[in-house]
Amino acid sequence: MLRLSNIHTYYGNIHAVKGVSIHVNPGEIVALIGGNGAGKSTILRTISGILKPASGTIHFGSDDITSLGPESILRTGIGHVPEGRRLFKGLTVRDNLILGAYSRRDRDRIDDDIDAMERLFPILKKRKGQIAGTLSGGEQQMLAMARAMMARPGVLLLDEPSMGLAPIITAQIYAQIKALNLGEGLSMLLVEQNARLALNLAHRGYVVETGRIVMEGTTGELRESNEIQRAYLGKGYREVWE
Amino acid sequence: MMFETRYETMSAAELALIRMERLQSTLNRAYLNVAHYRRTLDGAGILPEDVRSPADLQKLPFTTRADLEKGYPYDMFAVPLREVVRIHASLGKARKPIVTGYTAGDLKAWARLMARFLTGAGITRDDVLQISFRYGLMTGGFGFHSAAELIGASVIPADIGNTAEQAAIMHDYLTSAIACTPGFALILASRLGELRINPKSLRLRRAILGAERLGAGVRSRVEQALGVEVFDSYGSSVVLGPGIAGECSAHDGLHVYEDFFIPEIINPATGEVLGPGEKGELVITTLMREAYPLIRYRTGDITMVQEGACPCGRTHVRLAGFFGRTDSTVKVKGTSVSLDRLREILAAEGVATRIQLHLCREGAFEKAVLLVEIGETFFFDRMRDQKVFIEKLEKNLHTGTGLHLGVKLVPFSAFRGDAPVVDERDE
Repeated sequence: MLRLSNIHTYYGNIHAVKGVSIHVNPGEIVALIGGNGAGKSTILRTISGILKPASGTIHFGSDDITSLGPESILRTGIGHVPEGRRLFKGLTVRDNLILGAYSRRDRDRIDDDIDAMERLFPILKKRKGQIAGTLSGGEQQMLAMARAMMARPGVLLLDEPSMGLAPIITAQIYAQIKALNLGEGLSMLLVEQNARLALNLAHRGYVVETGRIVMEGTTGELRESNEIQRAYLGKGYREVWE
Repeated sequence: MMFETRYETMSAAELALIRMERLQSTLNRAYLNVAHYRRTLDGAGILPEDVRSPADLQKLPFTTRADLEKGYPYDMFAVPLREVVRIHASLGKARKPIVTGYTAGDLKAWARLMARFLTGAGITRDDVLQISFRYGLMTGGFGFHSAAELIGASVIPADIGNTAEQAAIMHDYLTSAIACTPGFALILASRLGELRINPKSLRLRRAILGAERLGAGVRSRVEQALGVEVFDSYGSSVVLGPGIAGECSAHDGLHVYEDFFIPEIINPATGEVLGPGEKGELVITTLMREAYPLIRYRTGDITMVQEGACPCGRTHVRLAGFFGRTDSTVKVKGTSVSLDRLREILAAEGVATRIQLHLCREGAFEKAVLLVEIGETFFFDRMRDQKVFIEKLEKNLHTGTGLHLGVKLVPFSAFRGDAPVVDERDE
C-alpha cells in the first residue's frame, strides 16, 4: 500500500538517502533499523512530505504522492508521529487532539474519535485539561500517537517512540502500538534505534546503512542474522582484523 | 503440495516488487563488503543505486568462475568469517577450488528452498528418504538433508558408495524416496538385480535427482528400473548447492525460486540477454545470500526459459531442462572434467594431438574413454612400449582429475566427428 521506489533525499548538501526502495503492506508493521545517522528518520520525513526527494517515487495505494505537500499527504492518510513528539506543549491535551484532526472534513465525527482515543489511552482522559508540556514522557508519547490517529491515517509513521523513556514505559507504549495494529489493522512504518524492540514488534524489517538498504527480511530472519545481532543487538563484537 | 504457498504463488507484481528491493540490498551489501564487486562496479562507472529497475540489471558486469577462483579462499565473502557457520568448496582437481560460506540465515534459507522442492515432489513427514549424495566438502548431501529434516521426513544419510549395502538398506529400511544422481540411481537398480530384489517389492515411490544433467533416456530408464516417479532439480555448489530450481508434479520444467534468485539466459558469446524459448547460458543473481552474494554469475549451464503458466499453480518461472555446458566441461561420475585440463595433462608428456572423450554406460556404470590421436613423437614400433606409455598417460590423468579414463591411441580417422565429447550415456 505504501511504496517507495529509488528515493534519493538530500539534507542540505548531505546525500542522506540513496536509492531506497521499500514497501509496507496493509496491516503490516515494518521496522527500519540502523545506526545513528543512517537515514532512517530522513526516510520518514520524505514520506510525510517534510523533505522533498531529489528523485524517485512514493505511492500510497494507487496515488503518486511524491510531489504533494505535507498537508495533502496527511489527507491521503499518512500519519507521522515525529521524533521527540513535537506536541503543542502550551496547549491542553484535548486541544492537541482536536488539532490532530485539522485536516479532516468530517468535523462532526471528531468528538467521537476523541472518545475513542481516550478509551485507547485512558490516561489522556484523566489529563484532558492538562497542559501537554506538563505530561510525563510516556504520556506525551501516547498523546503524540493519539494526535496522529485523530487524522484517521491508513498508515502511521512512528519515529523513535521509545526515545527517552524508561523501559517499563516503553513496554506500555509498545503494547499500545501493537493494539493499534491488531485492533484497527493499522499499517505502520517504525523507526527505532532499539533494534530489539523493533524486531520484536514488527512483521518485517529493513536494515539501513549510510542511506542505503542493505538487508530486508521477516523480523524472524533479521533477528537471527549474525550481522544484525552484532551491529544492532549488542551481541558479539567486531574483531580488529575484520 | 507446497511448502511456502505464499511465496511460491506470489503474483507477478508482488514478486517484482520484492525482487527489486532485494536486488538493491544485495548490491548495496556486495558493494560495501566485497572488494571485487566494488572494483567491478566502480570500473563500469555504476553505483548500486543506479539499478532502479529490473532492466538495469543488464548494466552490471558478469561474475565469472575465474573471478571466484581469484577470490580463493575468502575474498568473495560478504561477511566476516566469524559469522560464517558452514564452509563448502568445489571438488575436483581439474580446476582451482571455489570456497563458499553460509551464515546461519543462509543455511535456513537453503533448507526452505529445498523443502519447497521436496514438498513439490510429494515428500512428506511420512516418507523415508535415503540421501545418497556425497556428504562432504560438496554441497549435495547437506542441501537435501536439512530440508528433509525440516519437512520431518525420516532421513537416511546414506552417502555414496557401498552400493550393494545401499540397495539392501533401500529394501530393509523401507525407503520410500531416494535422493541421488541419475547415475547412482541406475547403479542401485542394477545392484537390486544382483541381490535378486524385485523393485516391485520395495516401498520406493520417488527418485529425487540432481547434480547431473538428466536426459529423457536416463529418466525413463530410472523410472522403469526402480518403478518410481522422477523429479529433477538444479543447483550449483557455487551459488548455493541444490535448491536453485526444482521440478513439480507437472513434470514440465524446473521452477526457479524467483524470490531468491534472478535467472537470466544469455548468449554466451555476446552476453546479450535472450528471451523465453531461446537456449543460452544461465546467469544467476542471488537475492538473499548473506555470506556469498553473487551478481550475474555465469553458471556455464545451457538451458532456456519455458513459456506459459504451470498447471501446478506456482508462479515462478521454469527452466526447460539442461542441454550441456558452454565450456568444454563434462561431468563424469559426478566429477567435472574440463577438456582443457586433459590437454594440459597430456601436454606434459609431449602429447599435443587432438583428443575426443567418449562417454557411455556399461550396464549402469559410466565408462569414459579418451581417444588420443597418434602423433609422430609418440609412435611406437613395439606394442610393449606403447602399452607402457598409455599406462603412464592413464596414471597421470587419474592423478590430475581423480578419474579413471581409459586411453586409446588411434588415428584421427577413428574419431567420431570432431566434437570434443561424444556422450552416449543417455542412450
